[in-house]
Amino acid sequence: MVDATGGLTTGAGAAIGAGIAMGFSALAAAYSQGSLGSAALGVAAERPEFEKNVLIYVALPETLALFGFLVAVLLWLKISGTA
Amino acid sequence: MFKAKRMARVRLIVLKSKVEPLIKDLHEAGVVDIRKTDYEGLDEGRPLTSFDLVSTELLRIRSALAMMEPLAGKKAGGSDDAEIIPAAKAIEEAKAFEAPDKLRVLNNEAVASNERLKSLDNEAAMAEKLSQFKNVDFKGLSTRTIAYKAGEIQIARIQKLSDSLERIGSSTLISEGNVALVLYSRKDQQAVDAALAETGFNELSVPAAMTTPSEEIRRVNAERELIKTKLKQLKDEMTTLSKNSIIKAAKLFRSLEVEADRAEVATRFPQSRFLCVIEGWMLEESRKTMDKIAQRYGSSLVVEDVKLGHDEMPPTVLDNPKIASPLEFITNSYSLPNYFELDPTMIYLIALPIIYGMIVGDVVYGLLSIIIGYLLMKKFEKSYIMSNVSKIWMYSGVPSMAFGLFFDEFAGMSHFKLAELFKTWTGISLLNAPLWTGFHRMESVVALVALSALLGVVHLTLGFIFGAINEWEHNKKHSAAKIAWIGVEIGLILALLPFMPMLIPELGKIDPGLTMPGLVILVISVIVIAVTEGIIGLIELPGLVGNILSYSRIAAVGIVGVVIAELLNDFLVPTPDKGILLALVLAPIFIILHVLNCFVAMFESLIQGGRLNIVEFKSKFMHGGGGIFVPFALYSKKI
Repeated sequence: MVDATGGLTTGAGAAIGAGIAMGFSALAAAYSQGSLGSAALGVAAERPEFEKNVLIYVALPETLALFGFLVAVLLWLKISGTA
Repeated sequence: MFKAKRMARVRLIVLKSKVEPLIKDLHEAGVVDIRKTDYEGLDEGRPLTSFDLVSTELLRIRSALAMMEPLAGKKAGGSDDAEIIPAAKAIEEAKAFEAPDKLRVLNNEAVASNERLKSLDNEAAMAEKLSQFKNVDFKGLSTRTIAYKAGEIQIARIQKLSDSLERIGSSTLISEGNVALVLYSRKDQQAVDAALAETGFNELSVPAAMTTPSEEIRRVNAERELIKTKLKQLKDEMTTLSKNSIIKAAKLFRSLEVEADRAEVATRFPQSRFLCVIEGWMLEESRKTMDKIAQRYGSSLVVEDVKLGHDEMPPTVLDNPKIASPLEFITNSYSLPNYFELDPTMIYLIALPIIYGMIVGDVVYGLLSIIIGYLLMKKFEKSYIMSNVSKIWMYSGVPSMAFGLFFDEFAGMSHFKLAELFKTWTGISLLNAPLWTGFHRMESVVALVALSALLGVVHLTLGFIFGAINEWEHNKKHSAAKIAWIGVEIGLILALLPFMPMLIPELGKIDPGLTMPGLVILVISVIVIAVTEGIIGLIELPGLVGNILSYSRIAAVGIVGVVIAELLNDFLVPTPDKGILLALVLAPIFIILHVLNCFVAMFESLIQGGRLNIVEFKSKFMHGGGGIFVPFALYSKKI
């Protein structure tokens, strides 16, 4: 975790970075998906014919979590020396 | 295939005397989407003269059917495509059809009996409350000088009431529990009423003819039995009548509904004293049918093509092979292309399964995708959404298996590891060494991201080509801009390619000389975009990079599936060395969790694949807003 000078090792820094990337992106995705989900359910309840259309919009914020995950995986592989 | 079916705007000028048979012929042929039109100097369209008569009978039969269906069963009415009776005969038969009136009379009687039953329930409840006064003959209580009131009162207030009545005099209070009976002289009526109101006395309305409460309960019960028997008889009569008449009623209803459609359509076209002018859209392929209709009317009907107006947009009818029909569901759901635009359905047919396959990328999951898709398709045959989604899952299972071979993934295991697992159970060695080396996604994440982005570049390029073709007819400048966007993509790739080995060493050394021509193409393309699309185009340049990077979700979602599958294989794979009992317990859990992981991957792949097609790809060329073609036909359907 800590190198000879008392600073963080590259591995530890990357691991923390991976955690932050995954955690915050998942939080952001959950927050926006929550708002979108409730709005989408409202639309589906009032206009059932748009049910299929709103599904894709509910899935849009997942992108945030996916990119966070991708960054986390790349950092993790960096630590393990695979990439 | 990429263009909507050719459409023509036709005008039919017909003698007014022939308009009714023509409407009938057009309705049966179902080739023209009749639109409301107005012509200066012509009167606005009016429904056919039969409309009022048909509507009246239609309403009568519809209300009768609403009563018949719960009694005889909805299916007893026969199928919707049953024979249609000619209009005049249908009206005549509907008028002579007595079942609706008989049913209404019986129904009214049943409603009245039910009302009486409710009122008897109230009377019984009231008599029950007075049952403490079992020997009191209430009928005899009321005389010329004496009256009585029976009712409920709070027990705590009885004493107060008693005191008040004592003060009035000439009155008696008898109470049992919270029920009280007050006898008083009629001359003290006002004072008694005031005393009762003061103590919150809730008067029960005792029928004038009531003798003793027990006698009243007996009478009410007897009448209730009579009414219940009557109701049963009425229901039996209504059921028999419904069963005997529902087929005829349904047939008449369908026939009158058709006639009402025909009578109503006349409101859409203008008319003069002698002529009617019908206008609408027709598929070019229906021209022969229209010619046949025109021949029947000779000189009474003129059919002519109408030149397309400046702002007019024909409706869109997609023209794809049957295999693409599940993907038409996506095209239809997210804005239909307008008549002049290219239809992206065939691209969806290829791109969506490839993206899906690349995300799932597993032979076993691909097979499961086909099986689950097939089972869901059978289960939800009648659901428009689910039947199409299931078919897309089935289609996409095939590329998933192909990518599974490329990635060497069999439920998260390599083919060699699978053979090893087989050996631990059977002792049979199928392979001594791996047959091929797969592209392991977890070990080549950067290369996988690059591959996803490359797929994105190809997909978006197709979008820009479609865009250039779409714009060619309207605005050559915009068409050139679309080609310039392709130039930006090519320029970027060429300029960055020599640096790629830094990220993916497997690529080897790439000639650095590619950077300069790439930059030149990039600069020229950006200049073209600036000239053709202005500042907006320049602002959108980083958006293109975002769009390409958006395809890296293919890698991300794929890896999620791989990680979960590998975790399951690491911790839950049933092997004999764990003990037979534990292996038997683990086996179903292992299978169920893999099926769940597969289902999550199927769902995510469809959503993310759909999104890449709808958001990234379609936005490059499609304005949408296509209208729906609704031909005037028997049981009109949207096409």
